[in-house]
Amino acid sequence: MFMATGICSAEVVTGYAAITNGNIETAREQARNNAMRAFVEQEIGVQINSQMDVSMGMVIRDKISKESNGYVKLNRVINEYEEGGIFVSKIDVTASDTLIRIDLRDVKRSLEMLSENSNYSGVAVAVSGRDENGRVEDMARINYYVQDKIQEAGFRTVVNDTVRSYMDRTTDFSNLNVGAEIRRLARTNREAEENALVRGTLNTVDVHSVGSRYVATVNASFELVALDSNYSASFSDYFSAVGRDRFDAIANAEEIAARTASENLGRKALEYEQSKIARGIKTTIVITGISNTDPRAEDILQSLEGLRCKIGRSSFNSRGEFVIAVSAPYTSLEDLRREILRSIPSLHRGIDNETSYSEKLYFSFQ
Amino acid sequence: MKISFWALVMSCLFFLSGFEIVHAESMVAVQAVGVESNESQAVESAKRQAVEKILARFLAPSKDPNSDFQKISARYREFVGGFEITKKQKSNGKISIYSKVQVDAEKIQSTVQSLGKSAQELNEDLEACFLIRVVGSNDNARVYRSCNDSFQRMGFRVVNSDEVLTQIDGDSSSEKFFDRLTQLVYQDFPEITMAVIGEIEVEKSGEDGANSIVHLRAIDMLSRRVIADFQETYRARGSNSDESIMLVLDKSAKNSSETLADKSINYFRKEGSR
Repeated sequence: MFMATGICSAEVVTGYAAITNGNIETAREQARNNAMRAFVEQEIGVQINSQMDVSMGMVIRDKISKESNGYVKLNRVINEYEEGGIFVSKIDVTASDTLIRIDLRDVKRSLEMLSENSNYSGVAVAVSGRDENGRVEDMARINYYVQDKIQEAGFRTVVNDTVRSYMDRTTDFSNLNVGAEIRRLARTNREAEENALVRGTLNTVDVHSVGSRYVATVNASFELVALDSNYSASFSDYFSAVGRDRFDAIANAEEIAARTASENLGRKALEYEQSKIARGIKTTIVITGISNTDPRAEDILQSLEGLRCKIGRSSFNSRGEFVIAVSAPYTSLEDLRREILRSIPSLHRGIDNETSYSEKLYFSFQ
Repeated sequence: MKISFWALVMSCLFFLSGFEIVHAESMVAVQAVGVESNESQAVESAKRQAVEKILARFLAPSKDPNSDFQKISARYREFVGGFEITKKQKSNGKISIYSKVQVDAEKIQSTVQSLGKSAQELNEDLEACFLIRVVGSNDNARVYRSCNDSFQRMGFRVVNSDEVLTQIDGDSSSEKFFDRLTQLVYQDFPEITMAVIGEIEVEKSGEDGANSIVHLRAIDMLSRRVIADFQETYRARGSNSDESIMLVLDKSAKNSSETLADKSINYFRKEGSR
């Protein structure tokens, strides 16, 4: 079909996949995909010349490999077989160089535009990795890749080096306090006004040889954390891939893991962003200087409702502060704070709690 | 502590023995056996069994005909692609059909999620916060991951409350811990609308085994009503005691969180919009 659209390349390519739990059909599909991706990567590779462009090229390759109509055509399967625990697929494919070149240009342009003009919040990215001996690995390539994948979902992105370096120094991710500390660091060390963090760890759990090739298995544990609310979403799974040597196998498994995790969390970030637009922001208002016997507490609730705030629950906490959970149709906490100060004269700006693990709006009552 | 890769894989497949699955990306091949009085019934029975095996990955199995598990299982034909008989056997007037069934795991997953979503549309504040103490193991993040997965699958949003998490102590008795945390959340954290509070205690048993005692409660913090109270004990045996601890922790977290997520969804469906 695309043969009429311009110059074409045809080639026989080989793809590999680890056979997991004896599932040949899945391995066959993965091996064919692997071959197609390698072919597309080769086709677009000639136009890539810097580290940033490499990751962008990976995003474009993902996009092209996913689309069944147009770019790459599977002419025929030449040979498929099992080799130890590996499934090998040799296929004859043809690609439209013209379509790929146009797409490369368009996707690159749209990613650059999104980076500057996205209406969605910014997302910080921090991915740390360890080899099978627990040693920290250089994850620059994967961080750029995850950044571009999240950007493709519609967000401005930035790498949060403070969080990344903390994650590189930390070994005990099973400790819940580590997760809490990462979230606190992300909130208090924002790189560029971002409102969410995608953080992840890629740990190699196994590498072994099968014939002349290697199979690596990587555990991906990722989390999307909203920095302006307590919302979070997680992704965790194991991924296996084949490589010509142990490093190649690990790099391939890491890439599959990072791709799946960032596509999954990119979707969730988008859903969260859209729900914020539809329903507004959710936060907790903390008011000092008013007692639980003061009838004016009720007036404050009514005034907040007048500002279209939906009150979830309110109480006087153990420190005697009046705490109110609200959702409100504002785009930022600062907008809501400004509107409250303007409309409720008895409330004054309070002192923010710098050590708090979550972002709240503080007021004093006078 | 170094745990073998196969132990990790085993923990992922703990509940899935007897069939092959990697990721719920598309069709997966499932081995199933149908035993009925005639061949066509046995074929249908094998197909349904195969679908239920995959469905159990996303929902807590239940015999209750009103449960989501049984409702989706009754639609098993929608999820079956290919079907291949590998062996037939007759015995005591029954026919056994051994088969390899292609099941659309992705479609099952999206069907489960759409049930969750419809509940979420019913109530825009459907959020869950986990405050669970793990005694006898440092790997409490494993428990939280299980809880996150189970509740997210049912359409809940997961919220962190790091201020509460950092106050979870290991010293108080189970009941004191539960009462203190419930009161703390109720009084100091109005942003938490639903919480799963409780404890999973694991201990080594014999040379290679491990036991657990699970007691978790899902609480509607707006009304302070207990939605569901989950109490169970589990036992696991791995190739060494560390593996057993990990396996029993996985089993405890998965079973309890799936059951609580299921019951919480049903509770909010009955409650309707807040």
